[in-house]
Amino acid sequence: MSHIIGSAALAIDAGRGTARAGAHAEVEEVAPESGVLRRRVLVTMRRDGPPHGVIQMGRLIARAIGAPLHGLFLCPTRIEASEVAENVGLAPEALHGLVLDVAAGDPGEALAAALTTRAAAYVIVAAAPGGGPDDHLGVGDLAQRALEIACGGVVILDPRAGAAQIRRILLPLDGTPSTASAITPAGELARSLGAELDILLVGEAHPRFERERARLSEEPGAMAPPQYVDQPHHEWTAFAEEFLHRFLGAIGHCPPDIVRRFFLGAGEPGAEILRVAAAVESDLLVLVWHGNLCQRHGSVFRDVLRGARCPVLVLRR
Amino acid sequence: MISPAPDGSVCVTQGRRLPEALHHPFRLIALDWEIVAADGGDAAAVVEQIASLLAVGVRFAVFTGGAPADVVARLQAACADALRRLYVIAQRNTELYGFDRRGDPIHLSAGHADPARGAVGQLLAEVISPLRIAPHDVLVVSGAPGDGVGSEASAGAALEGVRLSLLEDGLGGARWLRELLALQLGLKAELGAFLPPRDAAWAIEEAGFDLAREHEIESLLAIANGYLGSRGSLAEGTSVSRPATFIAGAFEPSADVTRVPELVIAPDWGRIRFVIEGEPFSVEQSEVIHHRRTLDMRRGVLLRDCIARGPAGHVTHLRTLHAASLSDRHVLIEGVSVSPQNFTGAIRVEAILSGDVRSASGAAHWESFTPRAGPRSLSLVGRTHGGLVAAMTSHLHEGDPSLPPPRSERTPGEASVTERAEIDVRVAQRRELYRTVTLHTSRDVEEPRAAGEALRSELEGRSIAGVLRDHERAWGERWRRADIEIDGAPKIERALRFALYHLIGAANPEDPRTSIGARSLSGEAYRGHVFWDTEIFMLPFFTHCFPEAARAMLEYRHRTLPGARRKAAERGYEGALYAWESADTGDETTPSMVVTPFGELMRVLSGEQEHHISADVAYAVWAYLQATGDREFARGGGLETLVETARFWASRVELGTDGLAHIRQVIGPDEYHEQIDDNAFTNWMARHNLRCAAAAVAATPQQGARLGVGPEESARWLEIAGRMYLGVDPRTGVIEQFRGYFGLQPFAIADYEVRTAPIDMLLGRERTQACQVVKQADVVQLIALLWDQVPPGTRRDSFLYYEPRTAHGSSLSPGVHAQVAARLELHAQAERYFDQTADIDLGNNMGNAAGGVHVAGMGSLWQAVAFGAAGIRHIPGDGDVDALAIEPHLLPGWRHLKVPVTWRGRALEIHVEPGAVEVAALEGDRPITVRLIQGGAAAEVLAAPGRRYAAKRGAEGPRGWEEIAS
Repeated sequence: MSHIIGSAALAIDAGRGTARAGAHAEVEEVAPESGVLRRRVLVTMRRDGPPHGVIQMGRLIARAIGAPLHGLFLCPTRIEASEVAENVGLAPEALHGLVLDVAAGDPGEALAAALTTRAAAYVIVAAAPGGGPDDHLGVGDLAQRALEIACGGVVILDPRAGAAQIRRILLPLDGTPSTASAITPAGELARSLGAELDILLVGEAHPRFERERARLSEEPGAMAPPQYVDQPHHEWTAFAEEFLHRFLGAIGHCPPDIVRRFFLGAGEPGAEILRVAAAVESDLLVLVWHGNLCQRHGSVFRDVLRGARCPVLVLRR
Repeated sequence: MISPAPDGSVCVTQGRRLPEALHHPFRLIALDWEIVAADGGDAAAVVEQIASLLAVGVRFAVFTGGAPADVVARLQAACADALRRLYVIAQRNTELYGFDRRGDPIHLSAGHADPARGAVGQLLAEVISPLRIAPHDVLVVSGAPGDGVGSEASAGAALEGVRLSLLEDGLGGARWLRELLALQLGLKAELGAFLPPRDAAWAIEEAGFDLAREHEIESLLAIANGYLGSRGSLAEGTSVSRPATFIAGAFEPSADVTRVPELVIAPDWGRIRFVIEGEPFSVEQSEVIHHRRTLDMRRGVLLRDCIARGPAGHVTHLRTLHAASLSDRHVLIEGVSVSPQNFTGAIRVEAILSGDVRSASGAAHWESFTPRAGPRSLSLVGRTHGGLVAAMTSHLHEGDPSLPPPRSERTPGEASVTERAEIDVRVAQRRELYRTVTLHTSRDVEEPRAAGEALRSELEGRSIAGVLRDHERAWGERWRRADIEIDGAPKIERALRFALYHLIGAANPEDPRTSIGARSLSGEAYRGHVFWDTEIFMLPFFTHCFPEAARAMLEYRHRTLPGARRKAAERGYEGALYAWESADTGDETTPSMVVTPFGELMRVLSGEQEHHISADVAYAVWAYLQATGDREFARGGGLETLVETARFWASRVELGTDGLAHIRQVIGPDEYHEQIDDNAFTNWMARHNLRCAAAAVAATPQQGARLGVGPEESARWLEIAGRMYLGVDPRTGVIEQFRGYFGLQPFAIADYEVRTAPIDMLLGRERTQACQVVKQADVVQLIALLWDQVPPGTRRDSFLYYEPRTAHGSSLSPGVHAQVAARLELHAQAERYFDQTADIDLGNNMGNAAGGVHVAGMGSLWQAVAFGAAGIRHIPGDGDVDALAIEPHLLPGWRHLKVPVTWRGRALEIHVEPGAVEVAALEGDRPITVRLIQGGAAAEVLAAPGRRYAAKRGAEGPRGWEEIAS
């Protein structure tokens, strides 16, 4: 089943920051990739356990980008803001600095309504694997809904995992300009956090009869690892330099003053992204999602989202 | 400016000047013959104009509704010399005719596989598209709307271009046509040196401006003359431009951890800023209406044509020209033409010499600069950390000597010097400025500054037209000796021209201290290091077209023998083991470790184990000696190189208990498999090396003795050669790539046919080494080089065995596969590999060429055509050492192939057609034996200088030679 997000959903006018209901064409006019323009960081909380991880992540990001931090408590029936701490199993001091909102009803719809009322640069959601039959991403219904509706970045993380610091951000790219749309926000976030940015280029291969599976590389402006590697120690250096120039400089406009590393991935893209994230001890993985799951990109997205050991920031394309 | 209507059409009515859009140098003109035919007596004048335009490179497609006979007869008579570019479309777009080299019409659509697409469709597929003729370079002329070209529905729909309807009746239409053709002919006078090539087969073009592709465009459009090379960066610079000028043979340490030598980046000489009515011009800041860069390969000039609107609305037509003089390698030429389109005012041109340059590794090679602003010119003298001194001068002047010089001011900076020239411009009036730059280094002269000033002074006394003319003549002479024509394969012909353009620009026969690096002088990748690429892939072209350049490159190997001896001695061997990566001294410059993009620290073993390099150098020396008969080199540097490399192999082999000579722990051309034993390529090439050295000593025993080679040593070489383990499987006849290869895990590249990464990256190192995947031609490479030593069955069986296992992970691989497949008459594979080789740089939009062009792959394309399709070769052991053999293997659809070669002092022009071969002995002082081989049969002719001979090829073999009229 595919999820074409936004076709009848809500979109945020990035320039004015106002919400409006949009038809499909209007939704497409909005550039959702620049999440940093929406200046609120929103953490979602429910009764299913103390939200240490999401709050910690929210604080980190909000502090880094200088945005207010909002906590949205989602519950079946309305409660007062003063009751939120108790309902999530925390002392009131643990919610220090959060602007608390409460939304009652279906959590997904409540979150959508909250984001319609006021946009967020980042939404932080705890993953809750094992959701209902519609949990196609394997991260729980709420996280999936957040991914479907949010125009800014969505950070999904294991609620038990904390993130005291984000030092290394891993951004996998497949060499297409569409995934390169994540470079600017990822780079800006890295600079705000004082983190280093690891770029991972993944490639793949298929037999001739599966030619359609490799269509990603046919996107105009796409850049794959070189077909000819006459001498690897020269070629890879030159290729890495050219790739970084082209994607981080000319296309992605990555802030030049952050520390960047370039890695090439070998093998199945999803597994390779998870392997490298573990190997370099990434604190945050950044993914671009085109909004559907049926294509190759969608399955890689789902595999990484399910398998990631660190928080994942998803930027919509 | 009058532009075509949105549908691309331009209407001309009587009493109006021809629209501005028609002042464009069209490359293909399609016209309705009815306009000409209706012109009665003046039709001859139109035909003459067509002939003149064909002669300067324009292609014509003449449409006729009826039979082609009349059209063909009229044009055939008038356009004799340039009929290759003429096409006739007849019988209402059902028949396409071209002309063969003799001027006879060929019915190109006869028996064509796809009649549904019509003659225009065929023209599109077989001419327009392969030559990349853009729609704006196509002019479609019809007599009136609804007539001629336009009336032919399929033709009109398929042929995209600027459409011109001559609204008058037949006579008036013809008058306009004459005016139009006269205008097209007059563009040479109008644009002068800035006129782009009319023949698309001589042009490499890049339209627009793409930030992402800019680096590879800079490589493709590089200009070079063997002494220096400059990337084709935009003169005014952009945020991504990476201008670089390289000085051949000048190295400085890199700034990265390896500290290996890298080519010195000379001061930036081509930097020019334009300030138009106070507003700086830039493709990123101005509104660019039109932008096109064209490499004119015939003339060796890079042209740029740009129309831009500034922030205040000033529209300026800007043209530039850049050339690295081939007639005086110390001279660089920059031309600027400015033409305001909607204003009269002032334009400031700032010409700069700048030492603000860094290499890709981040190194600032220059320790200090001395900029100087003189009364008429600029100079900049720099000294590198290694002590190299380079001096540049720059002189900016009017293109028209009758005009007063521009108002200029010259100011030195810390590491740069600038000349600012103010010129007054009038609307629609063109002004031209030229700048001549000189470059000398302490490698060439003792006093670079004085040499530069002297040359500048001399240049000031000459017209720029004369300077450019000399440069163009020098290119003309190179092309006369090298240009290949292929009727029926325009894409390959154009790609080959591009290849030869870069090869010619990379060589300097006057400097035996340098050779050609893996990316020539077009980019920084591979740091200018010299690999086996030069001897195995590039040198054959030079040996057969510019032996003096080949000699200089082999002299470089002779001069670097001390480094090769050191490398051999360090590893406990005798003789000379050449550096896998060589720079200025011949010492090994391959880094020993590298951090991979996978984040791993990896040992680089090629410098330690890729020993075949010594045999490759020896192979090239021997092939050069066979092709040239250069006795001096055979007794001097060539002999010493052969001897020292043979000594290396004699000490390198191990005699096994099987009584055979083995070479263990090496890497062959297939670098996916390291530390292997008895790599077939290495062993066969070493055997050849040993035998050639023994033969060379036997031919010049006194010189051999001077090198300490006695009969015993020579005999030992032959004995080792005779015992060499060759790895031929006695059961199948297939050569095993190395010991144990056949036992590796099976592999088929078809399983990974569509991939977005190299195969070794996808498989991982361990799996790659454990399976039969082959990086590049290895056994196939040895078949190509040692064709006559490999039994015929083994050639074919080995090719068919390895080809499906080969990933072509090197740009060196497709070309040799094209060559061998052609020789084996495996046409489908040959066509595919010809195409792949042609696309290595020209088909690249993935950034592969950003670090420079793949010049060795270019050399392999020449070999695929000359040795593969034309089948030119020397037969070893032939009693007649002068004899040249031709064993053609034309690909399907190739109607004619012309290859010029120089063989033992004679210049020959070889024409191959499907059923015939023709040889013209153009230059030389004595006859030469030419042997035509077909199957097992051969026919010989003793070709005398100044004579031309032809032989037919029948099913049973060649039918004998006949002298024909020259």
